[in-house]
Amino acid sequence: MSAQRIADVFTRAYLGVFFLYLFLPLIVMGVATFNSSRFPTVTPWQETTLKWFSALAADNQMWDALWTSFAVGLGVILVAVPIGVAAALFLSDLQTRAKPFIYGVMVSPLLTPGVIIGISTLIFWRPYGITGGYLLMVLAQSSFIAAYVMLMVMARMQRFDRTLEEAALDLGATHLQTFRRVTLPYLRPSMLAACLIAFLQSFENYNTTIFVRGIDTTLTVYIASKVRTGVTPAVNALGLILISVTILAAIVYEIRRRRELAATAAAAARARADEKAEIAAAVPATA
Amino acid sequence: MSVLLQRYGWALTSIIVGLTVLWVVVLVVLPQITMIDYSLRPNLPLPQRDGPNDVLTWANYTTLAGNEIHRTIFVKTIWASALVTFLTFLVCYPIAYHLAQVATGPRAALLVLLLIIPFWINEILRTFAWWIILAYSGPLNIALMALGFIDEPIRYLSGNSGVIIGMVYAYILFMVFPLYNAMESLDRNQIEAARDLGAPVWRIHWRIIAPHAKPGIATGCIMTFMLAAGSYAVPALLGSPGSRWFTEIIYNWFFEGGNWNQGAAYAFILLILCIVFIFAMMRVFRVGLGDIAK
Amino acid sequence: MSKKTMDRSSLKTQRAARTFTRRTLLQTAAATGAIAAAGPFVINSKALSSSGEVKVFAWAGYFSDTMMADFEKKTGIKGTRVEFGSNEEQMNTVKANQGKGFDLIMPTIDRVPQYVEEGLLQPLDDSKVNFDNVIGGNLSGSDGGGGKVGGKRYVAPTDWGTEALTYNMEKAPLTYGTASYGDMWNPDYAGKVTCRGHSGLVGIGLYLQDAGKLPHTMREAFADEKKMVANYDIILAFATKAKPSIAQFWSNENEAQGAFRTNGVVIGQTWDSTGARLWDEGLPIRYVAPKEGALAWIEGFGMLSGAENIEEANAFINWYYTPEVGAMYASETKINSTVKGADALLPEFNKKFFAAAYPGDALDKLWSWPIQDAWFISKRNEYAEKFLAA
Repeated sequence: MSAQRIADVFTRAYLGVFFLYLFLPLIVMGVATFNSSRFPTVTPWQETTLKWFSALAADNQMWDALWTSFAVGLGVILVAVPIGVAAALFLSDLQTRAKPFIYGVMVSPLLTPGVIIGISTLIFWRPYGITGGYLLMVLAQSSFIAAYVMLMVMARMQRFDRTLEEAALDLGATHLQTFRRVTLPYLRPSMLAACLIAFLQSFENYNTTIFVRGIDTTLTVYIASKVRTGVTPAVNALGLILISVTILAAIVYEIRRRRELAATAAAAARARADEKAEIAAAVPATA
Repeated sequence: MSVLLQRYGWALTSIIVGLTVLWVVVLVVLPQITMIDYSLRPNLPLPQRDGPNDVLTWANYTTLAGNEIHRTIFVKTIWASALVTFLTFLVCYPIAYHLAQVATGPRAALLVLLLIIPFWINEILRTFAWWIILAYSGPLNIALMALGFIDEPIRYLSGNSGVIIGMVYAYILFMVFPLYNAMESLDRNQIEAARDLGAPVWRIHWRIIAPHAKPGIATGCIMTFMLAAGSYAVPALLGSPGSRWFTEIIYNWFFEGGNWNQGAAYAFILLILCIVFIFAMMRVFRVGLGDIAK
Repeated sequence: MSKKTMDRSSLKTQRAARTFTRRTLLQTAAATGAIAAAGPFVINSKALSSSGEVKVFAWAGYFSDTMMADFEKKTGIKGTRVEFGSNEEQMNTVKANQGKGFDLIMPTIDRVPQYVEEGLLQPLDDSKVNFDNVIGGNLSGSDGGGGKVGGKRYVAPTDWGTEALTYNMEKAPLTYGTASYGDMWNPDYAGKVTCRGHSGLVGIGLYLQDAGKLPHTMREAFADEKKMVANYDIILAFATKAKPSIAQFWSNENEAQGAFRTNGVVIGQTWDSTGARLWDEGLPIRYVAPKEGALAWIEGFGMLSGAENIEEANAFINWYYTPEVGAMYASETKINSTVKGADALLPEFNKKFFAAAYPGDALDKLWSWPIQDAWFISKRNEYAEKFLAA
């Protein structure tokens, strides 16, 4: 019992340290937004200011780049997640001696430096009239992001009780029904996580994107190009806004969830009360 | 293929196979062949391509054998990536366990959210924030000096420590999610039972949770290792000349040297050796491919 | 499937097939270039159909939104600017696109022969570009430094800048005349120095050359591989011994600024813009040319071989070659415009900085980067790598 308590205390302490580690850079970045120094730092502190937010508001290039990044990220989810799931299903059922080789080929994009994926994709598609731009960014990024998706889905697949699918089929479900009602729901958590990873990977990709971007610019490419003249805290301001929006969305979601919970609880209580009243009304009648 | 057909019917099977083949052939293999072709040719200006000097050669591959600096960096990259993987695992295991088995519904959702938030900020900025923290006259040194722990600022950025701190940080999500996915499917009753039977905490983890999470551990470690070995931004920013990464050499061939042929050869060597390394590790830890891909 | 049949066929056919595709590609590219360079009527029809736009691949931060709007207002042509962050990114992007996708790029002139050798640039039409508005010395400097290849002019110079000594005036004061690249290796500053790998070696080389410790001049070393090796072996030996002095290497403006602002650096060899920005913000940082001469580079517009909007591109260059635009550009970037009359319109700070950076005979002593051939770059990288790994 006391060992359990020690473990609890330890867990709490560990969670604290872990999240401090996780948020330390964000705190530094966030605070630097309010330092007037043109270089995003907290030391030396020059003057407290809000000017970097107006600098951000005026930076049209940054906003354009942000929308491009969102669009590419969504495209990558649409392409890479179905591919990754398909590849995971494919590999899970593959029974051949060549399996390690095929697996090796499938994970190879993760080990290939981004610059090579970018250049080789560009060179490969050029003869077909597809040059740098939105489509190629999505394709090039998906080529390696699909491998992440595959790995994540496969890890979940491994714990899947495949007799469930067989049972469904035996009970007369069609293949499509089985897939929709049994397989997909089981894979759902890993697919959601994969969507998230795919989006974030796309959002921050640089090495591949610079070669296939054509005349489009994503946020990361834009920020990276700033090293020529020096990154300014306007970039931090954007980061701070993205974080705040995420937290705000989470809070709104939580409030709504609680309200719904309360509403259903109230409804349930009312229903119970009605039921009681009905019973109460019914009882004397029968009595 | 017959297993697939049996399980999913011909319509779904053709979609599954179609998507997979499309990906592997069109998006992965064919473009890569262009690069392998590059790696087997000398670096010539455009007008000289296809001329008498444009012959197949192993020269780009033998360069590595002849360059001691590159060999040393190569070996260092492998073991340092393995170290990063191990540390990331240690850092993430308790979190993944907590998420999967201890925290309940909304609390778990909140923790996941907290985990994701830092990754909204792109890698360049996050790494840059670490650079500021660890800089010579940065906040960490100032805080430590104010608290009287040190008298002289420390140069964190001149060894390997900066790179390792930055990399573990960068790859947390890639370790936590696979671990969480695998642990989440463990029946909580098994843990309760072991606890009731008087098993100490470490043994529960060693004998029940870890074996169950083995595929997740393997996946997380493989992803982290590959990401670490292929990392560029972190060593470029937080590393010093003494802690250079093999990817920096590859990029150097591409960018500074303008020699794509040599760069492609180096990248191919890194790819092959890392895959060999991964399979070797799987053998050592007795994780079969079957554990990851059943 | 066709891939498979090809694999089975004999090696000879295979090679012939590959040669065919590669050569055809090449010829198509060459033909496109030729058409583009040839009759104006071809281009005019193209220009009409493309409704007047120009795509410029430019350094990040060189052309602001305001400037692009100014261009559109004055010429009626829509300008699209895509930015890059380093010379290497520029070179590789252009190479990967085989000279297409943009109309104008902005290489540093010492790299231009490399672009021309790769067939990525086309010569400029002297009758269409207003070269009269360029400062004479800058134009001849550009032509002699790589901008002219085989008698044809490939570059319209836009700006020039230097790499010299940035120092903290309180902790490492320097004065023009005595200041030298050698000052960086003063034991007082041990552990507080920053430089770039490859250009740091050139700085050491110039210092050793003036001290009479090199068998050849540095300029000769850029032209002859044997002389280069002889010089660089000595330079590397010096650099290896001096390396513990270095706190941090930089590879872009951001890192160079960071070195001085937060990483405890007091002296270093950096770009002029680094020194200017730090001073402009009130930090005790100054920038001065050493007695061996500041390393000078020139950048300019180059027309890609696959440019589709040549008329509009010329219009862009000519728009830049007006004093107001040149001045806007210089005040934004903190580097020096090549446009006549732009200096008179500069903000006060730019003038003050210029005077402090290049006093006395500093401008006569500028050491402009010699043309760097492919062999030099790969050899130079080898030495830079040994320096970093030492």
